[in-house]
Amino acid sequence: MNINVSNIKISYDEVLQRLGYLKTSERPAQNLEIQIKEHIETAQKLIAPKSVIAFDNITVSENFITFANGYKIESLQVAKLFANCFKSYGIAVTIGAALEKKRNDLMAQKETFKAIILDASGSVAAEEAVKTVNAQIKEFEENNNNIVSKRFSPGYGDWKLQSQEDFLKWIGAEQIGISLTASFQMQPEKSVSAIIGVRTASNK
Amino acid sequence: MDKKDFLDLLQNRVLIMDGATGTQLQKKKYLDDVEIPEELNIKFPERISEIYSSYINAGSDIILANTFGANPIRLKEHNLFDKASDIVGEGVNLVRKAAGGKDIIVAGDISSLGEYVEPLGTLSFDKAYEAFAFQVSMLAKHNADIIIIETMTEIKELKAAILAAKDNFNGAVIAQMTFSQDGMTVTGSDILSFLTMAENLGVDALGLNCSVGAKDLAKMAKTLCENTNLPISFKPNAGMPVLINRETHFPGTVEEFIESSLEAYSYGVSMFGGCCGTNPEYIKALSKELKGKAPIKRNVKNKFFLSSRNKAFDINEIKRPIIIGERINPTGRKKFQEELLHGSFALVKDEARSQAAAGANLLDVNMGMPNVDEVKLLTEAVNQIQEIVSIPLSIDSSNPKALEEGVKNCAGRPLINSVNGEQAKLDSIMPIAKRYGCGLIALTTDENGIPKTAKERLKIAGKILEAADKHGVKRENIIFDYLVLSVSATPEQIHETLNAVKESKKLYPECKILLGVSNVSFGLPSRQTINSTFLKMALEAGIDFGIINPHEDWGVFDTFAKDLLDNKDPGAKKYMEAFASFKKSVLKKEDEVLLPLGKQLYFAVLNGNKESVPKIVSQIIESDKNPFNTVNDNVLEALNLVGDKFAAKEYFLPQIIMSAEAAQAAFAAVKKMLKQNEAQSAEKVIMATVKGDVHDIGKNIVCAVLESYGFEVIDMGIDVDAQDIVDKAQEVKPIAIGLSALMTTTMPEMEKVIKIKNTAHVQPKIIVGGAAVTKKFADEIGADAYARDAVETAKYVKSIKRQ
Repeated sequence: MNINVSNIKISYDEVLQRLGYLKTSERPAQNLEIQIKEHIETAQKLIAPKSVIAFDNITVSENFITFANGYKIESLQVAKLFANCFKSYGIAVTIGAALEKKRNDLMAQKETFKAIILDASGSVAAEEAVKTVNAQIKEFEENNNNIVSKRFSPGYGDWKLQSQEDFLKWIGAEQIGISLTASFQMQPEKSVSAIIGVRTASNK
Repeated sequence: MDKKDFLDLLQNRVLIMDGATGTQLQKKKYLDDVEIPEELNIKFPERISEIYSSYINAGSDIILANTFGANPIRLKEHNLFDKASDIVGEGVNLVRKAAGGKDIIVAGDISSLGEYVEPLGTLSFDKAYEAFAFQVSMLAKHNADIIIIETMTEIKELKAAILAAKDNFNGAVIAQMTFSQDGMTVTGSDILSFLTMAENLGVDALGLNCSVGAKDLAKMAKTLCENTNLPISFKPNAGMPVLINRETHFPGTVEEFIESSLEAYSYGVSMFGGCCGTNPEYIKALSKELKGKAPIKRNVKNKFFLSSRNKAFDINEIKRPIIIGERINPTGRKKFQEELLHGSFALVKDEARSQAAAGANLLDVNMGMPNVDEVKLLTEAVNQIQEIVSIPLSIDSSNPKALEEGVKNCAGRPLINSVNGEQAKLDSIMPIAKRYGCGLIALTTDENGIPKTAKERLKIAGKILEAADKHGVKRENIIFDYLVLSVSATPEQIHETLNAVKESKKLYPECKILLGVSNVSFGLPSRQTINSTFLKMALEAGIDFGIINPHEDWGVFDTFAKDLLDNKDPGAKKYMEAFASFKKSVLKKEDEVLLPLGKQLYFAVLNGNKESVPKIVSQIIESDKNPFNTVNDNVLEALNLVGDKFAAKEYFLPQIIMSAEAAQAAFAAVKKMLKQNEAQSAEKVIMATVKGDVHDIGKNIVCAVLESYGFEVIDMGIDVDAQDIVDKAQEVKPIAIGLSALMTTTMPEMEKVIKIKNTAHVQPKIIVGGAAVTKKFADEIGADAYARDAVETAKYVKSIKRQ
């Protein structure tokens, strides 16, 4: 399976959307656009995207997803999303710590504008990384006549954020430098974890 | 083994390096009981010896000692700094022991410090240099044969490492970088910019390691082989690793690896090994195919690369003239000087952008003006310019210290502008050119000033070349400037200059030639007519570089100007008749239309132009009876409009922040310039991200906007305990406390703060916000207000102020 996030490019349009610009209407003035693009260039140099995945067979009951290795997720919403799924992938991605370090440094120097562009760029890069892994898994599974579900992340809906600890342990997220704070937030901040279900094409 | 022996050996036969160490240690679970792999050297030496032996048995000639991350920054992080000498020493000694009498070359291994150098990161260049120098000194002390700097991804960090290695080690130094599939490092440098900088800093060999896998890396090795005669090393990984089910999988195979290594050999690579994912099997196969073979000879000629962080170009392949943009220079430009004196690099950056867009091949950077710290200014200018343009620089100063700092902090290979024939200059500038491997512009003047004749200038050129030889600066790196004088004052001098250019081509064919063109037209009308005509004449004479303004029209060729320059128009009579009435049209820019100072400040804040604010505020203070009110009223009026535009979705976050920064700059300037008692004391606001939550970007944006309204913000940071917030409020008596939380799990902390505050009978209002917080939640927990964003927060806090 080809899982590779090393070529993630930060899209200007995506960064604008993160900053609140609407999709089609308002665009920044040329002078502002130049500066935003320059800071995105800097962000591009500061990211080092990495990914890690795990997969296992699962059985789905009303509010549990039970993995063959014994790991369990308790969530009605995930169970519903995973109806008829026989396998699940866990994904974690991060863009590394360098961008956040620079952002914090800029904030401390009251270079807020530059800091928010870096921050938005980091969010876009992390999101792009998880989307990329998702697409690579999807391609692999579809080639094997399977269908993948939508992505779901710990802390959303009824899947408790506290589950993040066991979830990341299962995936091996520490191998790409992701750790958890006492309140279950991922460090580096620009990291994403998610789960995807797989069902056979006949179970559409 | 000394440097000469090593390089002789490399001339004669292909050398085999080792394969992956980390992957092998991981696979064997040898890293389980140590903090970092290098600790194995002293804690479990048998484990690392086993890896060394496996590669020696597989046929390696060169073994990299297990010192990859044994730099002081990393050792301190893991409380191992006091064992540095033992760790490095054993790393080297264990290879010797494993060799058991075989002729194995021990390479001291050095890699990244784990932090980027300024301006990309926060580590200063000097600190990075010190860290590498420490590691290199340890390797020298323990008699490593060669040093390999590997897996580098950032070019300025590599520069620090190479300089440290060359300064503290007598053996050969090899520099290797890691590239992505697009042929760029993750920090945006291409293969040729790596080659240009490393070769000119004086490495003995260079190469590629890790990266994208052998096949793609072989193509990059070809580029290296086609552009340098230095020995090249090739140490690919076994494909891009994929982490699945807690196992690291490398997609590459031994067969692909060997095929690509053979391809690299055919281009002229002479050192082969493997990186992540490879093992003794790979090295055994390599040895079988390549060990001891005669390297393919290369004969690369006529390359003169200059480079920036991102790109390099061979000046021999650029159409003449190679344009050096002259506009980043405060001489004779009042506005430029004023901005720099106020610490603003806005104009510097504008000039950099626009000259690059207008086709400049290089940018000259000069920060020389009275009463400034030129060393600091030039370094900062270099950093700021390199963040926004990717063409190489020409670092221009008459102050050797400023030149050295500018050149040192420049990512890539710049030009130095300039040395001349004065002995003191030669003695101070030549060593800088040598150490940093720069191209060097050399003015053909000396202690006696500008010589009148071409012959005398050529004689000074000869003296400069002798000095270059003495200091070990290659003659090819010298670019002579034969000096352009004003045609109005000394018309006969044009011929001397052009003659010197022509003769120089014959006398010193290895050296390039440059002229600063604009001087020629000094004191005459329609200067560009003369400048452009002269440039054409200079090109015919054989110049390579022109220091010019790339915005001007260089297509002009005029016969009146030509006659003048050929000294056929005495007193410039005919030229003046033709051009005396010429006036250059100057478009008055909108921002130059004179508005009252208060209005100028208003527009500066509205348009987020913080660079112009300090100057306007200082003018207000000089001329206004009540400067604080003028500043205050105009800033707040502008911010109110910014807020309205934000609400109407005409403005977005970047504009809010730019206006906030401009407003902050105005208040900061007014506070600094007015005596304490003249400024009104600001209301205080406490801001904090609640306990358990580490997100602070949203809170920081609110802080910035509140400060822009003149509030004194006490930012307590992230993960702040509820009791601490209330204690702080009792101490500083703010008018409001702003609480931020991003996560649903940390939102309950907000209620806790409110309860403690109520119990403690503290006055300030509490306003809450953050991604998951809603108005409903704010009401439920008894907060005084909820704000959706920074502008709403400011609006609410201002309303408290008025009560």
